[in-house]
Amino acid sequence: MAPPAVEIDTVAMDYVAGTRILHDISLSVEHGERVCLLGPSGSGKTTLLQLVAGFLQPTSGTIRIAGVDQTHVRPNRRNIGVVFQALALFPHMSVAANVEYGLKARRVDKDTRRKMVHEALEMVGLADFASRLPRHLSGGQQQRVAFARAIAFRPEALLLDEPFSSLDTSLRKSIRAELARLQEEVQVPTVLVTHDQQEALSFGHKLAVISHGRLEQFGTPEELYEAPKTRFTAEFLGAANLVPGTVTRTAGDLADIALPGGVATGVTIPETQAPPRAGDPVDILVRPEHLRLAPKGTGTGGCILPGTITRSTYLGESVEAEVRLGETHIVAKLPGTQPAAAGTQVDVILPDRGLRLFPVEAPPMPSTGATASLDAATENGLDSEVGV
Amino acid sequence: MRLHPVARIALGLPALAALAVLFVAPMVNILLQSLHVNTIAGTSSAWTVHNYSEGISGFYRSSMLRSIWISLVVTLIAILIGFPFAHTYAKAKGPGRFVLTLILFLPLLTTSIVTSYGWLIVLGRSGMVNTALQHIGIISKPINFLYSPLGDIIALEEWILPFAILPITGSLAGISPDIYKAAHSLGSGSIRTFLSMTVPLSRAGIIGGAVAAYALSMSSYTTPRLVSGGAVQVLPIAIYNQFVNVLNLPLGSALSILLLVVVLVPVALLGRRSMLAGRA
Repeated sequence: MAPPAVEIDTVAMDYVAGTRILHDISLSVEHGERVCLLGPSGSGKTTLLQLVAGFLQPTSGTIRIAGVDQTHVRPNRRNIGVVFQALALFPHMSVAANVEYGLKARRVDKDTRRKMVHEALEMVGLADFASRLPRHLSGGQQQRVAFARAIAFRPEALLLDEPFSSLDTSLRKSIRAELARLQEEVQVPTVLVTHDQQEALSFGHKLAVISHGRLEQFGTPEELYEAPKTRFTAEFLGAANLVPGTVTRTAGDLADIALPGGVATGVTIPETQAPPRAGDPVDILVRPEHLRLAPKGTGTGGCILPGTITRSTYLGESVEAEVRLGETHIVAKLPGTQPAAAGTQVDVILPDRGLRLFPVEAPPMPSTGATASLDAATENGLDSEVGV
Repeated sequence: MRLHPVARIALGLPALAALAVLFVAPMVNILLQSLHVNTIAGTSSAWTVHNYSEGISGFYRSSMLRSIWISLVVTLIAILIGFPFAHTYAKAKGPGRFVLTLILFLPLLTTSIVTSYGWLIVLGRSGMVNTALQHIGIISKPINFLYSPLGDIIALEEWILPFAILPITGSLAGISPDIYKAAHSLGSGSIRTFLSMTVPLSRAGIIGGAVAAYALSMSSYTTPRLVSGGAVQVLPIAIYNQFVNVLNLPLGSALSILLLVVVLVPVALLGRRSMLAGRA
């Protein structure tokens, strides 16, 4: 089997000696695949992209492009296209000259160059704008020039660093779809950095969720949404209800959990976690669209918990209901119903499949307080200095 | 805040009035003065361009040409030395930047009279430089820095450099680091990136710095007066002599106007290009 197009192999990075900003990250991008690096600002996702581009060098680990170790190859010797957050179009050069730049630097002969520039501009629909200066184009057109420039020299990989963030929401959506279509046309393996989970879900064949320099989970959007391995992934991707409960029994990777007013059976313990023991406090993940509500006393199937509606909002295609469940509030998204008055007693029906539990994070121990605050300080430092 | 048009013009009036009285009126006076000749009986009332034909021939032509070549050399050196400094300065942070700022502005903290006398000590026949060079054995006889264009150029460079460096720094600092990253990621090495990005994108600053260096050097009087003691006849010294020693005010005026033209024409041409480059 051919090696992956891009392989990040146990890559770690120290910002300064002793301040680790990336912790042994491993993931790979297959040929023709789109991978999104998703995380909050300061999580290290942009740093990871810079490592692949070659603007930074990892402290340890290997970066392979098409199976070849390029960890210490300079960016101009790699064959990787980059679209920057601010696009970084060359303001003193025409659209055509921008696109031609990478071909010139690679000493492609003039006729071939002209042909390839035309092809690239044709593909993004800007062939008529070849002689314009970038500043005479609209935001969306500039975006497409940046893309054409990054793929004109047929790179082995394409890196996109939050390239849509400067566009307004409606334009962002259409440009994103267009970019996905173009990417499918040229089949270039692509890595997109974003903090926008909607963008990641819609653009990526695979997502890598990164938090505090660690890879939380790497997989398809479905895997990450339906079966998150960590609390962070569960909460970062989509809306999540976390209902507190107590473990009553475990069997293999399943557990029974006592919840306020009922017991949920067969809750999945994500494999990455140490198995909880009976009596341990845990939170159960339920997505709002997986919840059902029924009038009090009429609920059937699954685990039924007594709740009280505190607010419900009509959203057209669905109703969003806020329900008080013991001490917690959860949100249910109910398609094709009408709002109910606040105070209505209901049965909250949990689905009998796909429930997952996460251990409740232990409060910091007083004796380790100093270390904890040091950690927090470091993280804040990263947020401000390494982010975006 | 939006002002009434009349109010807007009114606000500019004091400055305009000051300019008219202190700058325009004397300039007009000089221009009129330059169109008469000095006779034994005083300034004649007849109009003539005699002073200008004298000003562009013989002694004064060589003064002007000397001024021009000295200024061009000063400008060239200012850009060649100033650009690398500006390049470092634009990227410097923290204490390094502070030190560079200090180095940059130190020559401007005293008047050029004081620094010119300083150069006499440094560049004199038995000054520091000559003594050191002789001691090492590079030269056997002292170099005549003073009373020669070489000394003028060195001393002019000292205080003109900051004026060349600042505009270049400004335009270099305005180039986003992403531009360089983009060029690198597209396969461009350091030399290609420098020539295709750094130089064209800082062109406005380079032109601005060159214009400043040229104009300041052309019109400098104190430095050549003190460092070369008038032995190097540059145009400002010739003008001063006409006004103060020879008392030929019409000829001095004509020479002033000629100096102004020689300074302004390239400044206007380059300034226009620099403006266009700035908009690019």
